Amino acid sequence: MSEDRFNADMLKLARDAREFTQADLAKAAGVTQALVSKIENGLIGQLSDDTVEKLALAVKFPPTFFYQKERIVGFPHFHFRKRAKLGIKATAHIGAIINIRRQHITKLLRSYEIVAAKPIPQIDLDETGLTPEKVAERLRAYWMLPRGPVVNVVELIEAAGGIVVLCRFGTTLLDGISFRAEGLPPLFFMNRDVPGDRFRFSLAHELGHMVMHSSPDDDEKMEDQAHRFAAAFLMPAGEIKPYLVAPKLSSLGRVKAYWKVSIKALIKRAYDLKLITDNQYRWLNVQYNKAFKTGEPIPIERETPSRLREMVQYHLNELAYSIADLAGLLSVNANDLERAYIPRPGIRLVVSN
Amino acid sequence: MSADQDDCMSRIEPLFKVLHDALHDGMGFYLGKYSKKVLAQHRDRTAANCVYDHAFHNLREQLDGEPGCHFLNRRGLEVLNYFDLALVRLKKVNGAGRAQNLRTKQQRDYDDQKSIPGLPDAAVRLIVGYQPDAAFSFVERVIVSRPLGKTIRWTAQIVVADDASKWFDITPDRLAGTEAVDFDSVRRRS
Repeated sequence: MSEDRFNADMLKLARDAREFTQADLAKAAGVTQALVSKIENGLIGQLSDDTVEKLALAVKFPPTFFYQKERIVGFPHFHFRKRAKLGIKATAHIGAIINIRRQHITKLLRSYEIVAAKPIPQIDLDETGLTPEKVAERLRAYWMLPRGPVVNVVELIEAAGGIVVLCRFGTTLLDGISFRAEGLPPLFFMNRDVPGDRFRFSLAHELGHMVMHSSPDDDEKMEDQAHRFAAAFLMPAGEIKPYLVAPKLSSLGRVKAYWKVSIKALIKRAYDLKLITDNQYRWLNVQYNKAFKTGEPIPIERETPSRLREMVQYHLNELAYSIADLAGLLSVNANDLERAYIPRPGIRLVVSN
Repeated sequence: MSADQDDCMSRIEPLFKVLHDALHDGMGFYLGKYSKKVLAQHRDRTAANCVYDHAFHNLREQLDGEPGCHFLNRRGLEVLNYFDLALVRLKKVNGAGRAQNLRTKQQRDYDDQKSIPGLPDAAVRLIVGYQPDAAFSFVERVIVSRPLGKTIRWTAQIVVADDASKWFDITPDRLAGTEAVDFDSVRRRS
């Protein structure tokens, strides 16, 4: 162990990642809750190897996990509203996931370089006087996207140096979180348990945050801007309009399959572009709610990120790390590492939380 | 279930599977073979026309030359004549088995079970339709309906499973006492 001071924050992180209460952890580790509480509150600095071992076994992380000198990051400033809906436990769980994954990425990037010809730009709306729609248009032009639907949002972001990470948030109240951290490329933590069309829109929404929001502002305003950006990025006004003339649910299904956005988003876009009246908008929504109570038809395949997997493969193949070496580097159990980052043929990739 | 429905459905019973598959395959071909871009540019009318053409083509492929099967076209009205027992017209229908039609005289006569030159008088005029889901992404039901003026006398659903086919009466309930009025299409129009 190169770092020898027990980091209480890491214990809290591990506990949140496993969705344990202090009592759960105490029971699983065979210690008292009082001990867990005191450790987490920094009242006990040094622990016996035996106690650390018990805690590590309970949370299924190696003991080295607790000795990392990592600083925990909170939610980005544009997610206050979502966080309020989530509840404390879910927020803690998601926070733990993104922190652990961020730590993995930081370590992997020590030996892996991301080269992006056209990185994700930062455009200040106040300084430039641009609207979110105009920013989306400029970004499409900057990345030289052809007319029509964006084929793959994940590929675009990863080609621009961003890293998209699929996570199980355990809730559908939050679709994704993105942030820029010092020394790291823009990170996008996306909920894998949402439909493919919603995943794409949410990812474009997060991209909007990364492009437009570098400093805190009114949360509702930022959310609205990111939403408008996503709509304009995925459905540019001039290009989508011919597909939204006199829209009906029965025709929007085919439009969805081509543009890879939900029927709900198409209805909203038609309304925002003033292609339908208030009454038509209401009527379409009534019909929508009646017809698609259990979800929309025409599933859109969820996009799959590849950058993080490439980084792991690079360590295994080019740098000759063994699974055990890599697990040691990332301070995770080998099983978790394999499940999270090394897909095997015929076996579904499950991201470790 | 009425005696009329029982009689009409028994007339076309040997065709259940072919009709069911023709409509399902027509929809499947349309949604599967055209590019997504082209499909997105189609309006509902075009989509229905395409499905119709593919379904009718399927039907022809299966039944042309078969005993008792004749495909007739009377001024644009394409029907399958089955042993002079039944005329089958393919359509897109709603959940009540109702199709949208341009109300030409010929169309009205068909719906009113009247004589049309070139079509056998004895054959019952039926519509065999496919009911798509709300987003036009699959066939929810294959419905046989017996038109009657602007309304429907009865509807039945054809179900095919494991090569066995059945039909069920799915006629919507009518208000008590209106059944006779519904049948009187001539009076309704006069």
